[in-house]
Amino acid sequence: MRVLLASFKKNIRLEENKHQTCLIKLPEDFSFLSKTDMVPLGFSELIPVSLFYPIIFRTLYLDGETELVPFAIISVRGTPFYLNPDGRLKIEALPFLSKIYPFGLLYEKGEFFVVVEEKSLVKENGFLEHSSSNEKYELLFEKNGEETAFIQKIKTHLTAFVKDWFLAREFGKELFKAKCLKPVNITAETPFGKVKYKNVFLGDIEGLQSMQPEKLYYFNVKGYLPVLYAVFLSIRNFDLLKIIAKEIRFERSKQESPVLSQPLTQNEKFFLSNAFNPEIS
Amino acid sequence: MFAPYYAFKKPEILDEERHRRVKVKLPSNFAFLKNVETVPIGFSEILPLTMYYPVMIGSFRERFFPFVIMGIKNQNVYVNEEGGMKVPAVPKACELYPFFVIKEGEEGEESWSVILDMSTACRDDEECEDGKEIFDDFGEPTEFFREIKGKLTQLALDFEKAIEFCEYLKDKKIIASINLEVSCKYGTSRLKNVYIADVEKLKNIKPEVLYYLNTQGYLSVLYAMYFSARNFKLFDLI
Repeated sequence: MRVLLASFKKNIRLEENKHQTCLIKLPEDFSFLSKTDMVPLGFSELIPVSLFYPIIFRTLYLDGETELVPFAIISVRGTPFYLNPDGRLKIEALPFLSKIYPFGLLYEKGEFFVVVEEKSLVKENGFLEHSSSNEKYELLFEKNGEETAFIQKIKTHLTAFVKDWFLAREFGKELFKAKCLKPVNITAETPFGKVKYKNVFLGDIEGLQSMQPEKLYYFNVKGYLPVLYAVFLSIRNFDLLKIIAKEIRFERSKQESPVLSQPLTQNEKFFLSNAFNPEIS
Repeated sequence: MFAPYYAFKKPEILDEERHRRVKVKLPSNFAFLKNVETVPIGFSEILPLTMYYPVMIGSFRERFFPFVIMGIKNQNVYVNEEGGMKVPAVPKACELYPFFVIKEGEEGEESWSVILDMSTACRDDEECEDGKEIFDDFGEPTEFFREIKGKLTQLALDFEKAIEFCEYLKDKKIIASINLEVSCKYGTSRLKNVYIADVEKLKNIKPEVLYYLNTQGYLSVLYAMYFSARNFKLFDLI
């Protein structure tokens, strides 16, 4: 199975012989975040990203088995969560793969390939002389075919991400084995519209609370516990959108929480506030 | 313990004799919170409130309790100009204003008392058309006040549970005192001697303590409080 690890969809593999004379156009702002709704995450970024973005686990068929891999939901129906009209972000936190746009990785048959967003590649051919002063371009290869310092730096970052992504996959596997993840269908009401996420996995707090002491201890020593809680609490960030996207006035008489349409356990009700309607599948 | 928070301009312990002819005017919005920076909260409120507010642990007369930070520099960032709340969650203590509960007495013999902000009260002989009576002519609580008292009792029980939670964390040295500098569009303010989870210590905690924290539901609350520090960012965003 091919898995795209990127903050965009239309990608092209970077190849020296094909792209030796190409330039890459760098983004002028963060409006590119509208290109994809979800971005895969590395383990080390789960906590910082979870503070502002909802994180879910999705099933991917990788290396001969089905795995649960974490993704940050960064936009809904092409509307990025924290984007100002001027293209800037309201917050600093951003998944690594969005920070490194227009680069990404393609994972295929156990190998990683550097990809770029198709539209960002331009032929050199004196192009720079005609481009506007605001646009920023970088060369990918030197005339002798060697990689530029710029692309080498990008590759170093991507290599570090690969390691981090493997850690995230291991985390997903361990959580599932320990019954700390459960399948749900999510319907989230956001200021940008209603959106459904089917067959995704969320942290199962019931499962965690009934975990055997030795497993709990192992999770703690391994540094998994804070990450697990951060990820689980992150689903509440759908609610955050409502107040950041549009300031809502809540009258004293209207303080009651909206009613959840699906039955939830007491713990889940306690945790999940009124962010969305999970249906246990 | 649990001194009334800043909204109380003229707090008095409620007394059936002294306040028999008193009527109270309930606020129509949350404008009374506009200068309030911190409010103590009960245990059951911690998780839902960590969604929107920074929640930390404070100490008062050697007792530890959780509280929400609603603003700095005498400005509550969660109240808008019309007196509405910008977020859909409010501490229970604020919903019950102008009433509150405090714990007083010698150690070991403490008890909870109801207090009232007399700045919202008026006497029978004054013009007080829309005020609600607290006690009837016989000194018995009115139906209105009985309902409030029930909620205040629940709040006091929840405060007790919150104190127990914080004392346990303090006893096991899972929380650590920090001085915090908060900078936002309203200015910069220093919070001294507030307590948050000591994540490094938590990682090396004894298995039996960890198990207890988990089965009591303390672990999730502790981490939710720790991560609630991100809500300082909301001071600039809402």
